[in-house]
Amino acid sequence: MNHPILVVDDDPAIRDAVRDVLEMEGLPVETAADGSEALVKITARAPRLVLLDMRMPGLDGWGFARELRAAGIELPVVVMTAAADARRWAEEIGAVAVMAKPFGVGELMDVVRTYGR
Amino acid sequence: MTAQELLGVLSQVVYLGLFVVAAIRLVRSPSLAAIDTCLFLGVITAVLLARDVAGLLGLQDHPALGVLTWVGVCALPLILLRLADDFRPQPSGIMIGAWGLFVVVAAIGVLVPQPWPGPVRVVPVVWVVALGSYASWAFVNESRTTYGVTRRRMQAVALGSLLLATVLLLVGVSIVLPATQPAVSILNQAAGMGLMLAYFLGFAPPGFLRRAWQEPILRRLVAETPELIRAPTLDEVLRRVRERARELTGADDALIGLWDAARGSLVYHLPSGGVHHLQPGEWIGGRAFLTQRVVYTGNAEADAPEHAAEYREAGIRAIAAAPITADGRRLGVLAVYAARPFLFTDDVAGMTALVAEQAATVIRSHALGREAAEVRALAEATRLKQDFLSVVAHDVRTPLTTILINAELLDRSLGDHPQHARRIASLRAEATRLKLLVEEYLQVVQTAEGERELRLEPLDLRQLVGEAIDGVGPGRDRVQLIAAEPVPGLYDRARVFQLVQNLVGNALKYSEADTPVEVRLWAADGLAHLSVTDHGIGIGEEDLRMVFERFHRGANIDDRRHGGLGLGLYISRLVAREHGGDITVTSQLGAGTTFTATLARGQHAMDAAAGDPTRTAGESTLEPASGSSG
Repeated sequence: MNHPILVVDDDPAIRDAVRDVLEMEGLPVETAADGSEALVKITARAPRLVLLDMRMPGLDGWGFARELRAAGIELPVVVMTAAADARRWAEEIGAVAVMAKPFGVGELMDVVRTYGR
Repeated sequence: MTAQELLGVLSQVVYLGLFVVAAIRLVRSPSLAAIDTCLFLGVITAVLLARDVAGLLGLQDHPALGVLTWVGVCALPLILLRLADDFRPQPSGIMIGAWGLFVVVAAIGVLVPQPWPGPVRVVPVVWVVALGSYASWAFVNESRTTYGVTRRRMQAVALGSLLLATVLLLVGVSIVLPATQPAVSILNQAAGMGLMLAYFLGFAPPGFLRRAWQEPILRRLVAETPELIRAPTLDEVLRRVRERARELTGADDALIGLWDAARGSLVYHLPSGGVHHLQPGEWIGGRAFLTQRVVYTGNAEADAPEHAAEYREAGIRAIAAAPITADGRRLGVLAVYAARPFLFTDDVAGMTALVAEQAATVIRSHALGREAAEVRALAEATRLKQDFLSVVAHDVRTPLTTILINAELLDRSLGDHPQHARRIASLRAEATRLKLLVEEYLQVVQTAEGERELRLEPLDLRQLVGEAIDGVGPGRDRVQLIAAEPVPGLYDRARVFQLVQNLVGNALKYSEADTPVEVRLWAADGLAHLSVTDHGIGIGEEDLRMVFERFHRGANIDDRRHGGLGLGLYISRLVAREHGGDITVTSQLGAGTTFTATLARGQHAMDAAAGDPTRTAGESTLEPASGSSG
């Protein structure tokens, strides 16, 4: 199983922190700063799980989910946001779970183990 | 009895009646105007009755009768002029001239022996016609500056005076040209009837006429009320009401005192810019407020002797004051005042009451409008504040994620390093504390915004509380759970955890490390009861009342030792109330504290949950990730 976990967030500090945790656990990681970049990464190499920030400049979380559906790609997506509306947003885009910021290493690994096969 | 005789008797009766009415008014509220009115009607009555009374006494040929009639008739226009002068001062030259001429004309009647020759008889006719016309004109002129009933009454008096002059003119004509007498006689009858009617309406108008005359004013007041209510400030409202009162009553000025319940006084904002405080019952205005009735005085100095000097100094003689009261709510008092007594005092009192009624409506509505605007502004400010707090909290959450993760990663790689271990532990602990504070904060904000949802599931509260106690961290071994049996019901797991951990956390925090903390759980009256007792520093009486308020922190809490926002107990109460219960506290300084929370075990919760059938479905798929973050 060489499918990576795709981390999509416009905040480089979050991308780096999450990448560090996952790599430390020996998991392959790809990162993207917005929805468009994430779509490019997905076409190159299908991920096993997408950790998706919703509010991003460029193509945001909703746009990304729409493009994904339009392309007929089915992927487990976990919404990763600081907003109070996290749950509603997750339902809107058909995400499998919500990871509310701030989260720690334990919560991150719980989610990856549950939804990243 | 011929028709002419009948008419004669009728007019005598009417004038006698009018005179009695005027005399009663004079006794009730003496004023210059009342004296003159009484005098005028008295003289007319006397002139009309004199011949008949003299006939009864067999004195119909006595020369004194002629003199009395002469002087009486000549006095009539002079008294009329005085009445006009009572309403508004007439030029002093005219008053002095009229008096001088009256003395001369009266002297002619007294000194010239009777029977008077033709030319002498014309003298009083000319005099009455000239001065009577002038007085009528003065009345018509002044009536233009008045409104409502007063205006109509003055017009009626003016018409009566004109007719009086006409009657005497016709008498003069018949003296000079005796051939015209039959025609003149008929005209005189008609004029006499009109004259009688006019004076009747002027000096004693019946109630229905008063109401009819007042109606246009009422209409006008009602019509302009909405515009008054929209006035930008209360000062502007009061200014316009005062102006209206002055205009409608013909008073020199008007004042409004507003009731200040906090001070227990009527507050007058004087035109000079000063403020005057007045006790209810004090001065004329205070009496109107106290008795809730219209109070009138034609002599303020005599009626309020305790303030005679002030009234004298201010040149205030007549005052009409009416309470401003809306829906039984006493708002204040409206007073109009003048340097001379009003001509028709009852009109002024009535008009003042009308304007006061309008003022009550306007002031009340204005206040309500302002309150509504304030409530809206407050709601808007609260919303802005909530938005701001919400945005700030969310913006803190993202960098906090980075700090938390990196602190943990640091701990993993360098946690064993003797030099760094302590710092890393501190970094992690503070980041975690910050995270909890932000979460507490957001919960409060979301509750205020109505965004907080309850997620209920069937659980055993005893087991739940046990798990929560296990999660309190250091100090766990001091906590003792005393629960005889399971307490099943519908609860929100995360919230109950929060409630228990808040209460137990506080108990541990504010008591010494060697003292126990007892958690008791029992079911009674359909409610689950949860009490947490410590033997610590206790809560002062002052703080006890405030302990569940947002951001409240006890006076005896050392901020350096026990940091916090003061939201823990506020949230605990929220949780208890969300579960259909509440929370109470008993405490003794230095002895310890017991918090007791009640939770409705299901019925209330099921009622609340019934409205949202989709909740459980969404929950099952989304639960694991965020549920464990608290």
